[in-house]
Amino acid sequence: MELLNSPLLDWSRAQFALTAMYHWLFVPLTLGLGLIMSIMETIYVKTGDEKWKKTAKFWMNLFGVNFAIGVATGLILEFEFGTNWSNYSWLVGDIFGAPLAIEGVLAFFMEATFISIMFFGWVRVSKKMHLASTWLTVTGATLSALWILVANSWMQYPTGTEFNPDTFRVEMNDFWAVALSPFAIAKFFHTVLSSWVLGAAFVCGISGWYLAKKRNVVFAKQSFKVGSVVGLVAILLTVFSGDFSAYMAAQKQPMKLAAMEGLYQGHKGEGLIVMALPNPAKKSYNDGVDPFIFKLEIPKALAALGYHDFDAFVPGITDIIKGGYIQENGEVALSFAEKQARGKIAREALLAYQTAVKDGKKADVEKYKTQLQNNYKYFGYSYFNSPEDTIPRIPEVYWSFHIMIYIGGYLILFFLLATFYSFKDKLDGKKWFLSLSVWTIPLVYICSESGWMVTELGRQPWAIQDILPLKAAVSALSSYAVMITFFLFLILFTALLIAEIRIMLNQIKKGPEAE
Amino acid sequence: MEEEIPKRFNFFTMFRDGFKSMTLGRILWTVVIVKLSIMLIIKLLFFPDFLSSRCKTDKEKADYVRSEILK
Repeated sequence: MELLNSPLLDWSRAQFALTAMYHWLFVPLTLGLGLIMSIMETIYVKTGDEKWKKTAKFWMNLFGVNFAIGVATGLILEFEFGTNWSNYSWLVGDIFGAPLAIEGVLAFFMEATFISIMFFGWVRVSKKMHLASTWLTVTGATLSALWILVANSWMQYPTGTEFNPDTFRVEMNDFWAVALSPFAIAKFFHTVLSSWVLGAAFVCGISGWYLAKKRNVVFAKQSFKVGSVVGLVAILLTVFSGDFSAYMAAQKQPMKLAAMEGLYQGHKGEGLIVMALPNPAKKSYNDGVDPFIFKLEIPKALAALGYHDFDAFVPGITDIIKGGYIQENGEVALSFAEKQARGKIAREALLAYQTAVKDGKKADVEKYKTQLQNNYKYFGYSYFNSPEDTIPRIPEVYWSFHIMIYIGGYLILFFLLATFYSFKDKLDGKKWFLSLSVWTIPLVYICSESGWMVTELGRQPWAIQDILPLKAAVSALSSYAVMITFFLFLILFTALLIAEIRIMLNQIKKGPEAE
Repeated sequence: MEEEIPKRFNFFTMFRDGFKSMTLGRILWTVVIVKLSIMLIIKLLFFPDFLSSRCKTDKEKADYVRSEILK
């Protein structure tokens, strides 16, 4: 792997992160706004009140703008898989093939079919048929997200698969284990629910702007009501689903959980940091320097979050590297050195297997295949010389997690107030709250992107947890080629984002009466 | 006053009339077409299928990845 220099890896990662984060600006709004406009149309069909039809149509237009600018941005990630991450793509083609094919055939076509009825069918189909098309558009978009999240979850927790040393591919042997892995379920609910929060904050923010300007007051108030209720329910459910995600991280990716909290030395009943000042002098996991100059924590909360037990032992980075603690499943955790040794056995068995196949030695083929299968779980550790290599960059993970938590906490308060004020009809005199609702829009985007940063930065250095590190997944390209395409995408994405914001602001300024 | 819903649903006329009466949709379709064209050019120029450009068969691809991963 010495041929693979760091600039290549850094540019490949930067390009993927740029594309994924850009893509993620559109997806949550599609899911969140989709739900809200469907609810509004349902109210219209139930009550027959034309005001609700107008309201639903206005949000549908903004949904259309977001959908049009965002559509196909995810395809760029697939270009990058094939070009920049070819080793990885070959290895996991069998796993990713099934969920992505289902996504393409079922969800995308379902979404694309019903979206045309949703936009063009108002006077072509019955009210109920139109309503069904709106809900099916949103269901299609949500199903698209499901299959992508199943694929991503498999990378965090590879299950239901087996490595085939002949084809050199990881092959699926249990579709349902992959599709219904607890990681996939946790990720799906947390992602979709947080997208509803984003959509709700978007609706409240824009409605707040209308109310502050004293424009379209009836429309804005009814939109605010729907947005605030959806937001409140969704943020509370997001907290619960986040708890499940943290539990899964504690079980399968303890290093990620430790990085999220900057926890170097674990204890029983570990607390959750509320506020802290990280110590810049902390350079290594074993330098003995205190990682925080100051910290304020909720006692035992991290143990409760990660293990659903206030007195559970939460391993820190040093514990994970040294091993020897008892895990929740009763097994003793292996040290880095033990995992590395097993990884090396797997690598040597794979090399010996190839030789045995070439020489036609059947007994050796079976022997080395078994040896490989028994140790394959730690294959990726054979790439590392030092335990430091297995630690993600703590400040990025720590701050992404805490920014997500801080904004998430703020959103609970915001939606509580939003629901109270909108249902008590007290929004008119609350200029400060209406301004706050507008400023909540960028905050909820930061929160949503931070959540993904925790997920993806926290699993470093792995492309596939414990099996394939990023440095082995990347293609042997010139780093300059990747750098050039990074800047090309940066220009394209910036231009598209400016176009979206301008078109959207233009539609918002026109208001629902433009319909 | 609501327009009368035709008794027989016709996909073709729905699309034809829908596209004709588009206002915001015209801008969005322009953006989508420009974006997809740029993406196609970028794909053709900068994103070849890395393995297919080096290997012809699946066996060759497997061998190439094997040699890269076991380096």
